[in-house]
Amino acid sequence: MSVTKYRTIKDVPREEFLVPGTPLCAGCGALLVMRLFHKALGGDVVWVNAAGCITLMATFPYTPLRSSWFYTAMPSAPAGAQGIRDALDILIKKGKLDPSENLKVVVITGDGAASDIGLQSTSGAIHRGLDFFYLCVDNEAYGNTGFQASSSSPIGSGTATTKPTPLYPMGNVLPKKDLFEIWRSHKPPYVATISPSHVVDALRKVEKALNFKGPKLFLALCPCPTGWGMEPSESVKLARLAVEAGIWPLKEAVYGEVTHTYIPLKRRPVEDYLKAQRRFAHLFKPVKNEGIIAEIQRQVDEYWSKVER
Amino acid sequence: MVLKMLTGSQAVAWAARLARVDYIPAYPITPQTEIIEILSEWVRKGEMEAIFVQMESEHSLFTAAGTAAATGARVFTATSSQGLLYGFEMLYSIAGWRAPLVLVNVARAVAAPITLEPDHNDVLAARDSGFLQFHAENVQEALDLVLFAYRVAEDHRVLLPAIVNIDGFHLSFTRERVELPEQSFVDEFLPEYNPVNPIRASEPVAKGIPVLIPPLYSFFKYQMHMASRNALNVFREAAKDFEKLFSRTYAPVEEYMVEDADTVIVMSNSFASAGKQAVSALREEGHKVGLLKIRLFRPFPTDDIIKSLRGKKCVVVIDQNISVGKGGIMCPEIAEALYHLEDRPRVILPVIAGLGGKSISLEEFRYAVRVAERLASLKAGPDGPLLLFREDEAILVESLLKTASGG
Amino acid sequence: MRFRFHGRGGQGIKTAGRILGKAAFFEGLFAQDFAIYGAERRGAPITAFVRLSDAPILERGHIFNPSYVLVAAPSLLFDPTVKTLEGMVEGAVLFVNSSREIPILQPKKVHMIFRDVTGLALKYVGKDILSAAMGAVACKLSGTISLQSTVDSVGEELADLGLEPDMIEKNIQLAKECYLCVESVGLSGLSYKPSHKVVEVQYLGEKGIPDLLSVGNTAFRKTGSWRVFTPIIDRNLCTACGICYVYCPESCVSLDEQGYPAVDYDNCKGCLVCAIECPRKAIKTGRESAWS
Repeated sequence: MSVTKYRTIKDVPREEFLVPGTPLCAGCGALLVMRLFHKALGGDVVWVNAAGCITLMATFPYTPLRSSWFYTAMPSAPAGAQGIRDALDILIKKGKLDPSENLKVVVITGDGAASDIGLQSTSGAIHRGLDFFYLCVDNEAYGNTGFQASSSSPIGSGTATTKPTPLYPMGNVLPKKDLFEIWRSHKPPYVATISPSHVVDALRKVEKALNFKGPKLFLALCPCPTGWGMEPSESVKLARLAVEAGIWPLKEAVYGEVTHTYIPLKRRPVEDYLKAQRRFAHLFKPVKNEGIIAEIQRQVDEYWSKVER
Repeated sequence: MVLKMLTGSQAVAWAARLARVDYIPAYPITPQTEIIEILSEWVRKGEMEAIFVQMESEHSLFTAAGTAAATGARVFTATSSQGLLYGFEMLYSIAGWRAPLVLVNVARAVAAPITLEPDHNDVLAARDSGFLQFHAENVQEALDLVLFAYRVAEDHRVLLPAIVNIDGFHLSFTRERVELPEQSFVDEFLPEYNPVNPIRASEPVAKGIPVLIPPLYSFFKYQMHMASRNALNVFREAAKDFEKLFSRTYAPVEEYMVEDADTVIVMSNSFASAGKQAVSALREEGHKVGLLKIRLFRPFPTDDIIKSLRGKKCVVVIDQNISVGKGGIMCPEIAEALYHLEDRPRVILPVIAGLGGKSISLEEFRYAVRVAERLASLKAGPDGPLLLFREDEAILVESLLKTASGG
Repeated sequence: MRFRFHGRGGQGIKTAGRILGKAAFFEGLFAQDFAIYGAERRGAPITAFVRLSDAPILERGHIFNPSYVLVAAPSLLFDPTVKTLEGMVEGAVLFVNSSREIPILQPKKVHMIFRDVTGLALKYVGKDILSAAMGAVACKLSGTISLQSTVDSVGEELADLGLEPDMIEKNIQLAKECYLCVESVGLSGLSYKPSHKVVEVQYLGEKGIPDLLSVGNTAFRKTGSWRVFTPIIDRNLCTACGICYVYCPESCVSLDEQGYPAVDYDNCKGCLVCAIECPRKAIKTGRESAWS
């Protein structure tokens, strides 16, 4: 496991499993993550999906995927993965299916399905030790329905259901649920955060996860030009800024043991990240809300003070 | 063939075993639990080659069941009441995926108020989902109908999932004499499941994807309807093969003393036994009464119902369920089937009985038949559904309410 | 009068319809406006509908027999899935956001108007957001809505969306110029006779199951028509580092044997992530030339 195929960006596999022409927004961070993730996984994959933006990449009679796809329902994609994994296993065991027909089962959901309506199903699948991958493309709100708040929306963000008003000047008042820690508390073989900006880091993590049997879970912060309020061209830039500001730590946990895979030497101020997005515009206009910005910075600093110690 | 004393739960578990199911995702709920306990034990002992997995909810259980069936495994599962409703959205999904699996529903009245004994509001809530529905009266039928359900559901002319309904307690925990079929005969009756567009490496497939074009959605839904209608003939074909192998058989409906009857009681499931007993008693009293039992509820056996009920004077539809604000669920369907006949029955009386497992006595059956016959003689129609409820029960309720109110 | 707007997600087509509906409402007309946006996202085709009448409106839903069709993204005229011209009959009016006439195969005498309102939007607002522009054009074409009602409607609808006052003012200026840039055209004798023969649906068995066996087929959709700005690779500056290839969310950049990139213009949506990420600034951007 010590030798990696991925040393530089030149090592990104050339095979494409996602063809162009999806109906997703231009500059979709989730689509980029999925494309890179698939490259690292290789072929022979079945994606099991919960309702979200990504659901709409395949609408009858089109799909951009060269691999298999199964849309299930919003709360239960991991359960859908369980059914497919178990069916393949028993059919192979009974000799009804040739082992060469086996597939890697990969759940893909947004943050709403992952942290809210589908958390029970995810917990069940991890608890049972289901041999599957889980990729959560986290754009920090219910993007597919018009960007309402999810429990993954960060504090201070404006969404369609947490609009800043004179009564609620900071927009969303609730903290972002720590899905990484919720997953990790089940002690699965592998949990990681990834970013579309840090490609080699992401590929190495998938490469490492391929060595484990059991649940392998990935949480990707995916910039959403439409919901975040920024130009599609800035998608990767924003993802990088989130990492450099320390808002999105890149880390992994093997059987619960956490390692940070990238520690920004000098963190960018969170303000740089916040002011680049319309969803945080109310923190800067009409008057700058120093208090909230400082609180967000304090939370990030506190996180890293524990890491660096 | 072996004779055994089996509960309804044991019988349907045996059916799953004889059907050589591959996969049993489960979640416990009273009164379904015995079924999954038995199956998990058989799998753990190696007596069944299958995967048994306990899920975290019925919603997840149905999802796993559906995706496994779509992947190509023969799937069995069971639930009850609130469990069926908790996973409800997935019933529509599984049917829309055209994934043929068999789900035993152990009927139990739906909360609130919460209770444990059966009526059919749970299974009939799934009426419009696309699942085929087989309703069993006794333990033998429960076992046999599970085998029928696989045969019909997996037929490529059909490809829809199926529910086999057995009443909680009255069948699930009741032991009766059962003919346990020989494995080799079951194997002959039930060919191996041959899935359509299964999920595997050599042939990628996309399933369950959104269909956002209205005419296309309309088309796919109607395909499901036509597939379900095909199940009527597939069922009849299966019945012929079944009879050759097992010397007993089933039709979509069952007539009991219907031929020369003036008044026919329509019922389904285990309480139909009490209905048959009442018919026999009323016959002795000189009433020309019969009973028609609905065995296949989806697809709805309109032609069989017409054949049995045309020319009768009165039809008494006993619905062991209530659509609040309307009445029974089955009665309007029976009425619609008969409406266009020149010789349609003069009276179709909607009756609500047996909710939450309340017993139906001979006196109540007699009362319902008399109401129907009186309406027929008056050339009148019913005001609304008739609730069968007795004086002794009213007294009981009164005293319990008194206790509850501290009086 | 029935108006159908065709545009792309993010262009403000829904709001254009609402501007027309509200302006007609200010004029005392009965109006109905709504939009259809399903799976599609920013850049994808969107349709908005407006009905105006001096009597209560009993029709609902899709408009299949438009009196006016307004096309904000001219590339949609060539997208067979959108059917921009569906139901247009002789005497109907077609407005296309384009500076030059686009030859359109249509046998009937449809009155065609071409104006580059994107150019005006870029001038006043700085973005290809056409709600005020297309709304104002429609108001004028109707022949029944005054400039005052148009301006009032633009102000109110954009304020409802939470736009800042200075941005609303820019849009009002844009609306005024757009209102003046077209002339109202009278509708004459529109008669629509659809062929809507009722047929029986056949049972297709296994073929009637909504599974897709043709996987990896979205490239047929040619999302290149979504593009407003185009990435152009300068081979003189390119060092074949492969970064544009890695970061293209849509797999629209491919690398040749020497590692130099090429863009699949049939499908590139013009997100321009490649241009921002390119360390040598070797990817230029230009406004999509075909319609400007």
